[in-house]
This record gives sequence, structure tokens and C-alpha cells, in this order.
Amino acid sequence: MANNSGGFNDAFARLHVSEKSIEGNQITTTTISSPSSTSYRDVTQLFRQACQGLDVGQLVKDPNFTLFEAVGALEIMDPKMDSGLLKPGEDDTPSELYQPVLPEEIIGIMDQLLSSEMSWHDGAALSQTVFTCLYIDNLLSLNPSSLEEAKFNLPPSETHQPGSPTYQLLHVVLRAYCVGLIKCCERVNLQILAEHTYEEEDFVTQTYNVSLLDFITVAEINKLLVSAIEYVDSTAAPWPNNIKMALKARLAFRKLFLTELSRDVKEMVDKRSNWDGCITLLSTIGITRNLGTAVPSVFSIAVQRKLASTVPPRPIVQIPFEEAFTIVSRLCKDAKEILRVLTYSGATNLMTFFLRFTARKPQPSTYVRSLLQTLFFSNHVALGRMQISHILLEDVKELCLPADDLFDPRNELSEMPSDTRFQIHQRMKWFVERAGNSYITLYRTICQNRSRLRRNLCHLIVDWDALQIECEEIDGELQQLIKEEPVLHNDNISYAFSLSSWVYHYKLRQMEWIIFLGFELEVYLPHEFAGMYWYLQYFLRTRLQHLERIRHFVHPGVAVDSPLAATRSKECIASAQDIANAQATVNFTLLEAAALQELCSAMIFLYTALARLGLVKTPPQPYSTDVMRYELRMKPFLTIGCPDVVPFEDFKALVDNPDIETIEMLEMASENTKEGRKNFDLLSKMSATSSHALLCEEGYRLNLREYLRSCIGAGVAIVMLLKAIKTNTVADAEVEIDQGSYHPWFPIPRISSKKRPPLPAVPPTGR
Amino acid sequence: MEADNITFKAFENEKETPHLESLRSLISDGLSEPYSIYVYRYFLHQWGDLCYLALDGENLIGVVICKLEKHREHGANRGYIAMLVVKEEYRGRGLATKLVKMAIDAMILRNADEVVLETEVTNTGAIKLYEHLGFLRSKRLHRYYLNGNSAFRLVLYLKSNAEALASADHGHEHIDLDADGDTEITND
Repeated sequence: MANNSGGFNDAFARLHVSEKSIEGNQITTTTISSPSSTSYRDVTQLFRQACQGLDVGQLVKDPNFTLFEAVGALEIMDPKMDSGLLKPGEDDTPSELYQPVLPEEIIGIMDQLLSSEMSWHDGAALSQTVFTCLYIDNLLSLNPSSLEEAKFNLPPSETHQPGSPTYQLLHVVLRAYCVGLIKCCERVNLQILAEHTYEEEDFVTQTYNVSLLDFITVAEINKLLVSAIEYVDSTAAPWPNNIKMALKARLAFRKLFLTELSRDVKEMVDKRSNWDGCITLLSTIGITRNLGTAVPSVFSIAVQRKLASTVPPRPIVQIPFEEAFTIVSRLCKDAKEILRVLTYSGATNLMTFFLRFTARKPQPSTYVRSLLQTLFFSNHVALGRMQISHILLEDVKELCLPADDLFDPRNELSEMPSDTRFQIHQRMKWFVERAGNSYITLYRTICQNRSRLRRNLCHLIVDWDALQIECEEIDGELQQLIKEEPVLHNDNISYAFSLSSWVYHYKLRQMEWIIFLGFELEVYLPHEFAGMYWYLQYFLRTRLQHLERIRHFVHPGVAVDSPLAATRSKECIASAQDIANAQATVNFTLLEAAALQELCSAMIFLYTALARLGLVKTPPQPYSTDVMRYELRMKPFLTIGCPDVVPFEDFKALVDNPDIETIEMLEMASENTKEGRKNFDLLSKMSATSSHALLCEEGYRLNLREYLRSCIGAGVAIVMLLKAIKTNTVADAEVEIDQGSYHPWFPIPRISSKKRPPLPAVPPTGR
Repeated sequence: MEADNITFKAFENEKETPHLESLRSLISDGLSEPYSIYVYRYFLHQWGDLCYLALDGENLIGVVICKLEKHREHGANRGYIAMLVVKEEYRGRGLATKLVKMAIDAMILRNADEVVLETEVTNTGAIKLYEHLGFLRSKRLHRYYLNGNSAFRLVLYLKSNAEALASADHGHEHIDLDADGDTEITND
């Protein structure tokens, strides 16, 4: 960039000088008065004069004009950027809006509108979807502030005499539908803006300063829809029954859908939701789909010209009806399903639901994931009626079951700072606040799109790592306050460290998820698989050891002479059942982690063997080094205290296992898949209660079946490789990584002969 | 179209002539995102020496546009490959790889710690090109482009972290658009 811009700078600086000196330079000023009495001055001449000081190609750049501004800038008269640009021969005067005469056309427009609406739900902007409908545009263009004003402004037409069925079709039926749809959009926008989602990425809430009937109540609009239904039902409407049914189903759906989108959490807690009603009407809409006649002419990109937008023009997005129908049906089903969390059945069950629900493919819509966040926690209330501290402490108890004295309600009553109970309460209060925040954030993060989930987890683990250290300190203080009895564990006398143990367990799980999601999102290349599974196996092994420790310290004992013994509340004392439950949770978690660890171990051996056989190749990579690439891969974990990242040389030796023969390696992998399968089979046989899958049994079992498929798929690959080695046909073999047919966290190599077509993937198991 | 006629050169001191217009139309045809003239000026006037052109005779057939600056105040000296386009009929001859290599080599000379870029997840050709140079995918960016497509962030470390920190000097202009510490061009 040129620095020498002296001449220009002088002239440019004058643009900023006060009015007086401008007058002194005898610059003609044109003052345009505006309502706010701002005065404008014509600086054209001054600007031209200033430009004289510039050389051709010389650039003046404000240091604050960053890439962000450059990318956000629009170029007038460039058709790719200027949404107001008229192409040669194009006319800005809108052609007369077509007024349909047939009820079939109204059905068609309604279904096109549903497609537009669902395209918006699916991530496109209103300017590309709902707003491109000329009827929506007509209705909103006068900025209606009351229901009376929310109507079409159409020129009189011979075919649409007031009171005639054709007139009613437009001004009663379609109007009610459009008003209902716009209000639905408003409700959805409010929900999305209330929670954490990523604008433009998950959803576009931009309304271009167009009010989505904000001032009109849902009740009024529902009335409007009801009267439209009544009209269609009346004898005044001269259409066959199937047409009437189609129109009524669409109007009734709009009414029910709007009602559901307008519910607050309290109504949901009171079980007043009626998504089933929406689902039933949707099936009628599906059946009567063919009665509609599409009217493409009532949708136009030209609407974008009028919108106050700073983005380039974007094409109309209107997904096919079938796709829109799938999206809206799934939205209703998912919105109904998430209400299950309101039937609280323990913290671990809740977490399982969040994990399984959000991992579903395709991922539940942004609206539903936003609503799930609201259900979980809004207005300082969890699940519409609970304190978050309750769920947090239950989560700790379900896994670690700390000593009773930490939860004694009498602790809170003590007001004497020197009192042990007071001191315990202070520390538990700290824990609830500190860990509570991290805990809420974790749930909210799980509701994000999968890419963001992985990225955000990389930040969360840093917080949980710090939390772990802070909790270790608090655990140390608590164990003295409650006079915890130390226990012999692995030849050492130790204490439970319940709070930090719980934190550490969650931290390890999040570290695993980061890598697993790397597989799901196809961030890793096949030649990296072995190394990444090695890390998973390493994290899982660490977690298994940690779980063994947790099991050892479930419900730690305290000294008999503890000063708290005499005043301990009965209600805080864990029952035998509580202790058994915590042990069962630990055992279940151990089994699950062990199953994953076996499968990961198999994958390390399998992909290492494939690399050795030259079937998975590392690209040439002339730049950078393996050490640096390792550093890049380990970046999320470099600051984590425990478990730490191993030095590259060790890592390489541990993954490559140069001392193990390839055949032996594959045989070991085979053993791992068998062990993994055995563990997943055991998990499949456990009840939903023992699996903490009460809220999502179906999704939980589907996930288990996918793990099993990956075990089987890996087993098949191992057998084929062994056979190829033994028959000396490795040179004929080809490998393709199958991301789609197996568990997204365990892509499987499909091994085929170059001479024969590849074998199909393992068929789906019992879906 | 003899391969022999193809030459490479740095944009460098060209200011805006004579290639800016052909460069814009080449990129506009090749990439999905619309870029204003400011975007080109932003890069070319500050990092013209990191922009390389491929020419067939006088015709512009390929270009790579980059920048290099501190990522955050104490961060790495980060190279960024903003755009890479080769005319369709000239693809498959390694021209893009050559252009990228020239840009990376220039960045290395200018003490870059790392090079990053984004590419559409469906653009397997580009992904393969970068991965064959040593880049790794570091993350996936959901619906990153205006057309709704997702992207991969690709990263190449040129120095190990410790080295990069040791050689870091402070007080440079920086762009920080993204909450988790990445420079991302987000069209908004």
C-alpha cells in the first residue's frame, strides 16, 4: 500500500474542516433540510479536487477499514452484489399481482408457502423464502399495526367481486393463512433469538426491518383462522368436499402450529402441548397435496430490491414440497419428543437424552434445538420447575455419591462462620455456582450444530480443567471438615475427592467427544486414523482407571467421632439403594467405556496395518513436519493438565508398534473387536433404566447397534486383510473408507480386490 | 495452448493495472462468493507480493491471493490464502499447486509461522491439493458460505508452537472476527 498520499491527504483533510473554512474556500453548499434538521452538503467538487492529488492506482485506506468491512461492502451496479440493479430491459414497476380464481390455486400457494417457510427453517434467509411471496409482500408492505390493516391491497377485479367465493378465497382464506404464517415466523424468530444459536450459520433471523405482525396477538389471528375455516365449511363456499378438506386442513394446521409455537414453558410443564394435533393435520395435508396447482408467478426475487439489506442478492430458495413436508413433520415430532425432558428422571438420563437427541442424523432443526435449551434452563429455572443446583448435585451423586454431610440441609441454616456446617455450606455453594455455570454451558453446547459442538468443546475442556483443579482444593478442605476416613487404594491411603472426580470424568468425556466428532465431521484423513484412535484409547483407558477409583470411593465413610454425627439430618443420609445405584452407574459407565476402548484399540491396529500394507497412504506433505502436524492435531489438548499429551516420538512408537508383526497385529485387532462386541452385546441386554436411557431408549439402542455394526465391519476388514496377506494378494487389494454405513465415530475400511467389485457394507442390523 | 507459454509472476508492483479486471472476472467465475472491489484492493495493496499470477502468453489463467499478518496481538504470524483460481481448461496440470507453493515460499521468507485457509467441503480437488502439500483439516465450519455450503479450515504449521512464540514480535494490526480465535471472512 502506498504511503505517499500527501496531496490527497491535504485535500482530504479539508473534508473534515468546519463549515466556516468551507465557506472561506467558496465551496457551493447545497443544504437539504430533513425532518431531523440535519443539513447535507454537496462535496462533489471538493472530492474531485481532492482526487487530483492521487496517482493512478494509488490507494487511500483507513486503518479501520478491515477485511470485515471489505467483505461486507457492496458494489453498486454489480449484479452479483446490487440487489436493486435492474438488468437492461428490466422494468421496476411491478406487474399486476395475479389473483387466483380456483381453490386449487390457493392450495398450491399455501403449499408453496410451506416450502418457503421450511426453507427458512432450514437456514435460508426470509428474503430468499417467505418474503419472496408477493402475497406476503402485499400484506406486509403497508406495515399493518392491527389485524384490520393486515389484509391484501389488490385492485378491483371483475372475477373477484366482493362477497363472491373467488373474493373470499383470497381475502378470507389465503389472507388468514398468510397472516398465520407470518405470525408463526415471528414466534420462531423470538424463540431462536432467546437462546444461543449462530446467526447466518444455523439460522437467519434478519427481518430487514419488516415487522412480522408483532403487534397483533396470537388469539386474534387464531380467530381469523377459525372464521376462515368456518367460511370454507359453510354452504357459501361452492367447492367439492375434498377441496374443502384440503383448505380446512391447511388453515387448521396453521392455527395449531401457531398455538404450539406460542406456548410458554409453564404450559408445556402442565402438559398442554398438542403437537400430535399438528402431526394429524399434516397427514391430511400430505394426502391432499395433489389437489393443489402451483402458481409460481406469485413468488418473485424482485421483492429483495425493497428490503433494507446489506447483503448481496440471494437466489430464491424453495425446497420441494416433499422435503418441506419432511422437515415440518420432523419439527413437530421432535418438538413433541423434547417435552420428555420435563419428566425429570435423574441427571444422567437427562444427559443421555441431550447427547442422543442432538446426535441424530439429520440433526434436529435449529428451532427445536433452541427450544430444548429453553426447556432445560430459562429464567433461572431448570426444566420449568427445578433448580439447576438440584440437577447438578444429582449428577454428582449418581456417579460419585459423596459423603452425606455435604448435602445436609442443616448446613445452610448455620450462620456462624466458625461453624463446620457453615463452612461446608460455603464450599458447596461455591461449587454449585462455579460448576453450575459450566454444567449449564455444557448442555447448551450439546444443542449446537455438530461443527460448533466440536469447536466449543475445545474451549470447554479448558474451563473444566481449571474447574477440576479448583474442586480438588475444595475437596481437600471438605474432607477435613467432615472428617472423612481415608481408604487404601492402589497401595496408597487416599480420600474420595468426589467433586473433582466428577469434574474429571466429565472433562475426559468431553476430550473423547472432541476426537470422536473429528471422525464424524471428517476432519481426519485416513492416514491419521490410527493416531487419533490411539488418543481415544488413551483417554478411555484413563477414564476407565478413574472410574475404578470412583467405584472404590463411592459414598466415603466419615470418622465416627465426627462433630457432625450428632446433628446430622436423617434426610441427607444415603440409603443402601442410593449406594447400590451409584455403584451400578459406575459399573455401567465402566462397561460402556471398556466397549469403546476395545473398538478403538482394534481400529489402531487395523489402520496401522493398512498403512504398513500401503493400502492407506500418507500424502507427500513437502511442507511442515510430522512433529508440527502432531502439534496442530493436539492443539486442543496442549494446555490440559491431565491426561497430558505424550511426546511425538513416544506417540509414534506407540501407534506404529514396529515390534509387532502385521499378522499378529491384525489378530490382536480381531480379539479387540470380539471383546468390543461382547461388551456392546452386554450393554444391549441391559434395561433402559440401568442404561440411563429412560428418555430416549430408541435412539440409545440405535446408537448401540451402530457401534456393533462398526465392530462387525472392522472384523470383516481384518479377516479380508489377513486373507490377502496369507494368499499374497495385498497388491490387488483396494481400500475405501466407508463413513456412511457405520457408526459415524467409527468409519470402516471397505477392502476389495481391484479385480472384483467391492463387497457391500454390512447390512443394517434389525432396524 | 502449449504448456511452454505458461509463465508465473508476482502481482507485486503492478498496482491495479493491467491485470485487476481480468483477475476479478477470473475469480468471479471460479468462486461462489461475490467479492467487492474493496476485497481485492484490501489484499493486493497490502500483500501484492503474496499474490501470484499464472499467464498463458498475456492471458491471465490462474491466481492466488494471500495475506500475512499477526493473528491477535501476541499470536502467530499467520499467512492466509484467500483465493485460488485456475481457469477450467487449464486445470489438472499442477498450476494451482505451483501458485500455492510460490505463495507459501514467499510467506516462509517473510517469517510466517503458519498458513491457513478455508475451502468448501465438497471441493475435493482443492482439499487434496492442500493436503498433498502438508495441510491438515483443523475444523469444520457449518454453513460457512453464502450458498449454504460448509467449509473445512485447513492449517499448515511452518514452525512449532514454541518457535513461533519465541520469534513473535508485538504491536501489529490484527483482524479478529471470530470468537474462538480464527480469522474468518464472514459475509454478513
